[in-house]
Parts: sequence; C-alpha cells; structure tokens
Amino acid sequence: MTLLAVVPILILGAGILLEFLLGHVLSRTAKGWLALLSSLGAFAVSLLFVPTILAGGVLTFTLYSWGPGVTFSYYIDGLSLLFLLMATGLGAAVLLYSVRYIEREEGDATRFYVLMIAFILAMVNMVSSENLLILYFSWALMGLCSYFLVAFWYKEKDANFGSRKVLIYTHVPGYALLVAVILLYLSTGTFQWTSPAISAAFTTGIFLLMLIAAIAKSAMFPLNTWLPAAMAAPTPVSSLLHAACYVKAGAYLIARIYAIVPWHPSWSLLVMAIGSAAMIIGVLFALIQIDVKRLLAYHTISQLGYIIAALGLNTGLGITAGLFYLFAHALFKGTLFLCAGAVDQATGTRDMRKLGGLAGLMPHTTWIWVVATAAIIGVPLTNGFVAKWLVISASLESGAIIVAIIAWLVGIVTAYSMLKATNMMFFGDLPEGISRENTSEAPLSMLIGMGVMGVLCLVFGIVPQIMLEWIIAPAVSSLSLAVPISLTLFGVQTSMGGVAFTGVALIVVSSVLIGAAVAFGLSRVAKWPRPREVNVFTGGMPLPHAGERVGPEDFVHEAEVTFHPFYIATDPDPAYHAIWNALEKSARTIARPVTFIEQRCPLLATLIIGLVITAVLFM
Amino acid sequence: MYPEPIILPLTGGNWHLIYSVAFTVLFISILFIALQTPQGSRRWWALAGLAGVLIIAGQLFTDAWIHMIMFDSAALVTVGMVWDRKTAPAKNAARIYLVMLLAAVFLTAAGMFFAFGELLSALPLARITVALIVVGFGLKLALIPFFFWLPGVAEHASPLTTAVIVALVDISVFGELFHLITATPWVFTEYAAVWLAIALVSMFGGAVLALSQSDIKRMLAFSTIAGMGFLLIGVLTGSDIGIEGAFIGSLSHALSFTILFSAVGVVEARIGHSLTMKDRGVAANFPISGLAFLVGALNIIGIPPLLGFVGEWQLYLAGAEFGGAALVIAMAVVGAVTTLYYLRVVHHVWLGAPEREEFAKEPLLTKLILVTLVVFGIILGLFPGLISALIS
Repeated sequence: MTLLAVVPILILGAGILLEFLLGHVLSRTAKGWLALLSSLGAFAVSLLFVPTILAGGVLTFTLYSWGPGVTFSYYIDGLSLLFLLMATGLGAAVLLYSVRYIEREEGDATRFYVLMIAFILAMVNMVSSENLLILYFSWALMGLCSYFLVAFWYKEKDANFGSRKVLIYTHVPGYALLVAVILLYLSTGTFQWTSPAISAAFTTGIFLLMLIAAIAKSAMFPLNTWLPAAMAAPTPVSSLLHAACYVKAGAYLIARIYAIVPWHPSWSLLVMAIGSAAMIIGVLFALIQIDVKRLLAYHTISQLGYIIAALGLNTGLGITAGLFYLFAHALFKGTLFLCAGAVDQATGTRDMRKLGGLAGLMPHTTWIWVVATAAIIGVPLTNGFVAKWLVISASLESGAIIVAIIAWLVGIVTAYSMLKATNMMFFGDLPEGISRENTSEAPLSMLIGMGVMGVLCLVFGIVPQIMLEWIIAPAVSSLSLAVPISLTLFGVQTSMGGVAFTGVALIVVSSVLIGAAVAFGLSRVAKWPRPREVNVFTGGMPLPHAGERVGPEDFVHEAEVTFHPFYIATDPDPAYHAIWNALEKSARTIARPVTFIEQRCPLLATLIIGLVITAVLFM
Repeated sequence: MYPEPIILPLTGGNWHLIYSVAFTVLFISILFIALQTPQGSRRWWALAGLAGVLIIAGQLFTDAWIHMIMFDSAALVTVGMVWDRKTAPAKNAARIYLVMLLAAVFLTAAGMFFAFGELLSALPLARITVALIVVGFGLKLALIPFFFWLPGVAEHASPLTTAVIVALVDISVFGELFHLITATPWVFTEYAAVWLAIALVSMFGGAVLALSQSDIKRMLAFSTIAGMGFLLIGVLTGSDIGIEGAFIGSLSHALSFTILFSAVGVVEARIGHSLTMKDRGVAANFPISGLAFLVGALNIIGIPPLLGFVGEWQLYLAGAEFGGAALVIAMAVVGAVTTLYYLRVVHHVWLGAPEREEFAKEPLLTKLILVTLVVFGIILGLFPGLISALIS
C-alpha cells in the first residue's frame, strides 16, 4: 500500500478544485497554465512509478469506501502505467497547446479547463482502478466529460448534434459493461478484478458484454460514426479524445481482460475481425473527406483497427505490437490534430478545398505535420513504422495472414489519403480566401505542445528500444504474457526477424549530414536551378482539370463511385435512424389511446383496471 | 406497528432523519425559487407551506397511521395547489386528482387495516388486502396502469406545484412501502409477480410514453412514473441492497425532479408559455436553468458521478439477484430509453441557437439555489457515505 499510487489523481483533483475556486480571479491564460501544471505534476509522479513497475512490482492503495462493498481502490501495474503516462503526458502537451488556443477562442475558459482535467482524471482513475464498478464509474465519467467538451460551443448546430451523438453512441452501449460488472458481482460477491473469483466467473457472455462497451468507446464498426461527429469540439479536445484518452479506453478494457482471465481462443477471431473491419472502413471513409478534422477522425477509426486487431492476436508479440501502436498512435494522431487546429485557427477553415500553400506561412507547423504524417503512414525512422512492422510481424507469427494483408493494404491507402491532405493544405499556391497578411504561424506554446509530440514520434521511431523496454514490456508482462522480443543497441529482434532501427537511423542521419555538408559546399561554387512546378504523380488517373494540382476532391468522386456499395453497407447510421424513428412512431402509437383514456374517461378506466387486477389476484 | 426507527441495512443511516433533512432542503429550495417565479395566489403559499410542514413533520413520527394521515393530508393539500392555477384545465386536473386520491386513501387505509389485522387466515381476505394495497399505492404513486391523474396535473399545474407533488409527496408515500415490506413482507413476497409486473409496466410504459410527449412537463411526469417502477423493484426484492438502492434512488428522484421542474418553471415564467419540443436554444437565455435541467436529466439517467448512479447500480444488483440477467438487462434497456428521451429534450429544446434573446434573466437567488442543488447531486454522488454520516 503506498499513497504515491493516488498522488496523480489527487493532483488532478486539486487542479479541478483550484480552477473552480480561482475561476473569477485568474486570467484565461493563467487558467491554462494551472491546468498544465496539474497534468504535468500528475505525469511527473507517474514517472516515479517506473522503477517499481520495472522491478515487477505493483502499487496499491485504497482511498475511501464509496458504497457497500465498493472502494476507490487502486492497483497500478505495467498496463496501468502505460495508460497513465499517455493520459497525463500527452494531456500536458495538449494543455500547453491549449493555453494560447483557448485564449483566442470564445467560451468559458474555466469550464474548458475543468472539463479537460476531469477528462484526464477519469482516464487515470479508470486505468488505476482495481474495482470494476469504479472502472465503470470512471468509464462513464469520461464519457460525460467528452459530452460536455464536444458541447463546449453548445449554441452551434454541429456541437449540439455532435455531443448528443457522442453520449448516445457511447453511454448506451456502456450499459453492457455495467451489466457485465453486476453479473460478475452476482457470481462472486466482489468487484475487485484482481480476485481469482472474478477470473473463475468470467464467461464468454461477460466478455461479449464488455466487448460491446469497448467497441463503442474505441469507435469500432458498427458504433463508429460518433467519432467524426465529435469533431465539433475545440481542437485540443479532439486531440485528447483521439490520442490519449477516450478511444483508448476500449483498447484498455480489451487488454485488461488478459490480466483478468486466460484469453479464450474463440475470442480472437471476433476481435481481429472487428479490428480489421475498422481498418478498412476507417480508411475508405477517409478518402472522401474534405474537412481535415473529419479526415483525421476516420483515420483514427482505421488506426484503432490496427490496435484492436493486434490485441486480439492472443500472443505476446501481438499484445506488444498493439500496445506499442497504441502509444505511437497517441503521439502522431495527437500531433496531427493539434496541427489541424493551428491551421484552422490561422485560416478560419478546416475545408481542405480552401487551404493551400501554408508551408510558407506556417513553416514550423508544416514540419511538425509532415513528421506526424510520416509516422501515420509508417515511414522508417518514425514510431509509426515500428508499430506497423510489429503488427504485421505479430500477425504473420500467429498465422493471421489476412490481418497482415489488410494492415499492409490499408497502410497504402492511408499514405495516399494523408499525402493528399498534406499536399493540399501546405503546398502549392495560397488560395484566394487566405491572405498572407492575416495568416501567421502558431504561437510558440502551441508549437511546443505539438512539437514535443512530433519529436517523440521520431525518438521512438529511431530508438524504439526505450519505449519497448521501459513501458511496453512491463505492460505486456503484467498481462501474464511473455515478451518475445530481444532488444539490442541497434534494433529490435522478434521471432519473425529483426530491424536495426537505430543502426539504420545512424546511417541515414550520417548520410543526410554528409549530404548537407556536400550540398552546402557545392552551393558556394555552383548555382542551384530555380525550383519549378512538376506534374503530380496520379498513378495514371487523369486529374479532373488538366494542369491543376491534386486536391482533396480529386479521386473523391472516383472513390464514391467505386466504393459506393461499400459506403452504403458500412454506414450504420441509417439503421440507427430507422430504429429511432420506429421507436418514436411506436411510442406515439401507444400514446394515442392512452391519452384518449387519460382525457376522456380516466376514472372509469381506473375502476376497470382495479377490478381486473383484483380478478388476476384471485386467479 | 412498524419496527422503529427504520435503519438502512447497509450504511446504517436513519431513514426518517435522512428523509426529513432532504425534504426540508428541497422544500426550502422550492419556496425560494417560487419567491422569484410566481406560482399562484397567496393561497398557493399557504397551501404549499402546509403541505411542506405535513410532509416534513410526518417523517418525525413512526406510527403507520399518523404517517398515512399526514402524508395523505399533504397530498390533499396539493390538490388545492393545483386548483389554485384557476384555469379550466387545471381545475379539471385537480378534480381528477382529488377523486383518485380519495380512492387511494380509502383503498390503502382499508388494505393496511386488514394487513396489520388478525383476520388474514382467510385466504380471500389476504388477496383482497393485497388488491387494495396494490391499487391504493398504484394510484398514489401514479404507477401504470393507475397513473391517469399525473400527466394532467403536470401539464396544467404550476411547475413548482408538480415538484412538490412528485418530489416530496410521492416520495414520502413511496417511503411507506419500506415500512410495509418490513412489517408485512408477505404482501410482496407472495404476490411478487403482480408487483413485478406493475414495476416493469411502469418502467417501460413510462419511458415509452415519455418519448412521445411534446410538452416537457408531461414528459417529466411520465419519467417519474418510469422512475417509480425502478424504485419499486428495489423494494420488491426485499434484499438489503434493494432497500438501500431504492432509498438512495428515491432521494435522487426527489432531488432530480425538484431541479427539473424548477428549471422548467423558471423558464416558463419568463417565456410566457409552456415549454414544448417546439422551443429552441432555451439554455442560451437561461444558462443556469439549462445546466440544472441537464444535470437533473443526467441524474435520472444515472450517469456517474451523480447521486443517481449510486442508487442505480444497487437497484441493478438487486434486480439481478431477484430476476437474474433478464431483469437487469430489462432495466438497462429502460435506462437506455431514458437516455434517449432526455437527450432528445436537452438537445432539441435547451441547447442550440436561441430563437429570441430578449427574455428577463434568471434571478440571482434562483441561480444560486439551482447551482447548490446541482452541487449536492455531484458531492453526494462522489461521497454517498455523507448521507448517513451527516445525519449520524
């Protein structure tokens, strides 16, 4: 038992309290710094857990009794630590970005920061909790925070619509988790997931109930359409929601099941199928997006598919791949969203048709975006490459060749989609709607916020051993699985082969440096040719307007035509709308006679019903 | 006649004291809001004061008949509060309410007389007793299929009158069921199927009918009916967790509907008409009322960290113990429908762009009270142990 285990929670709680108490005193900026400090403090304390976890230990503490048989008890193992660092560390980066972002936006800053800290707190509480009911408590609390955050600009139609969708699509399936927890308690008399009794009572039915909740939270098909709708939120919210918190809660739940009960082989196929479907659906829907945040949202669905599929492989390497991918995705997707937010704030639009040529006006943002794009595509030297390599290796190792093929093909489409977005937003000429005078680079604190995450994409791509040894391996071990990788100074070795990430990086960086030195030397004696426009490679597909550069609308029509049946078949919203309409219609149908009786003959009806019930009692 | 005082089985709280403190807080809140949101004539104030005193004082007695007399008297006083609206529909609603209430008083009194008497060796009399109690309490609590008086009252009475009825009177009467199951458990255990059927029909029927309403107060009325069905399951199980869950659920119910009807009352008094699904963006003009309505709704839905969840999970567990996975899944389905109909109202009526922006603002005192009630809901949700700790 150590009090240290709950210090991150207490720091975040204190942050919320101070925001409330000092809300009328502090400036918008100061509120941002206060929020940043609380998240940073929680991150710093979480780092102190690393030695204990690396030594194979766990941290436990019981804070207080919440209800009959229910305690706020904490159990921090390797898996918890991974999510703790992700939530608080990336949360801090996002909050640093938010300081200037929110300063320039409308809306109550106190409300924003209180909800952001509560969002992180709920995630931290969830991954640290030993009590399943408190896990559900945090799960739902996180949903509530995201609901309020998406509704931050609640007078706007998109925010109003989006927040409603977020809560319905995630809270309603969340009842499945509550029912699972209640049924487990009914069988065992305990809510503590560490109890052997829970493991014994954990049936496939319980697994399926938990999976429903996880699917909704992690935006897997057919509960995926809330995620693009949540883009009405302020950008830091989108970043936190997509990167560190919320969507990762579903992945956490699936991973945690490994620690509770031996994984049943029959579960793997289902989880891999769900993950693979998400990979394909997400990326194909991304192809037809013209709003950059919606494009990123669909890529989140696709990228989460990689993670869920890997977690379903039921091997040490699969879990290693899934958890590495999870953290890698948090970094690059968080960065991409923050860059998109910076662009939105600088230009006033997220519509890629109205963007272009921003590299000249926002060079630092461009660089950071390019690094994160390279990571999501899986370019070597980025963490995305390591993550994809691990997922494909793990799939091949476990014989899930279909998953490997899907991961590979989806990677190609991801590259196409993201490069198109990059080209459209940052390169080419400035469009008419964007003036050079009014468009400027993001402020320093925003650049640092997204830059830190961008740099980490490179660090964990060049030296993934750090992440694998200190964070991922203890997390995998905590799930009672072996970590089938060996780490060397120059790279990583698995049963499917090895890659000298660091070694190659050294060669590449050396080559670049030598090349730069040579180029610099040559530039003294020779004159460079002027840059000129070149035709974009379109793979043989003619551009709609000859001579124009490739744009977000290019191929959109082709994609819509080609994949039309697919889009129809994989959009679950019409089915949900039909269910909703049927429910409303049925309710109105039932209400009609009831209202008639209520208004015309309530006394007679009551008398008859009373007599009928008396008769029933005598039957 | 009753074992006294009733001590909550799991947390050890004194049931009477907790109710009296909670009702005092809620009643004072309603009166303060009514100060700045006119509800009726001076008579309304006199009647409201009398109803409040009867309800709160009633908690201090432990004799069944005194309870019944005081709570039934309070209910009869609220008929006058409904009548005081003085519109023809309000008077009609008051008449129906009065007739139903008188029937309920007679039936429950007769039922309890037989239940506590010595004549029950005759089987037909036992069944008649149960019939009297089922119908009598069904009428008082507006359970389906005895609910016909409540929607009309909610629609035509002033919102704070309805708050007094559903949050204070109904919950006080509901509390009588705790006593009844302790003193005469056979009324529930031997006729569990009938009680369960009424609870389920109230839950599902209330939720489905709430979904079809366009008048917000009528929607809230059907929501209370669904909530009563939930609470009845807790009592019906007779288990410690069920009783505890129903008790905390009843407190949450009272808090939520005080907040919800107050928020609606504040807005209606300023926009000059009943709040319906045709209204848009109301929260833009009345942000604190909007927040209060939203939190009240979330409390009913049972989302953590609000008090509603504290009662909800215990009721789910009691339901699972009593009716297995099927019952707990049925309860979850109703929870899901509740989420749908409340979010429908929140996002159609309260959030979004406003239609007009020239309404009088919410008074400061009203805002203060609504915020205080909301904070209560959050603090008690985070630290439910405070409920019994504060009293003891």
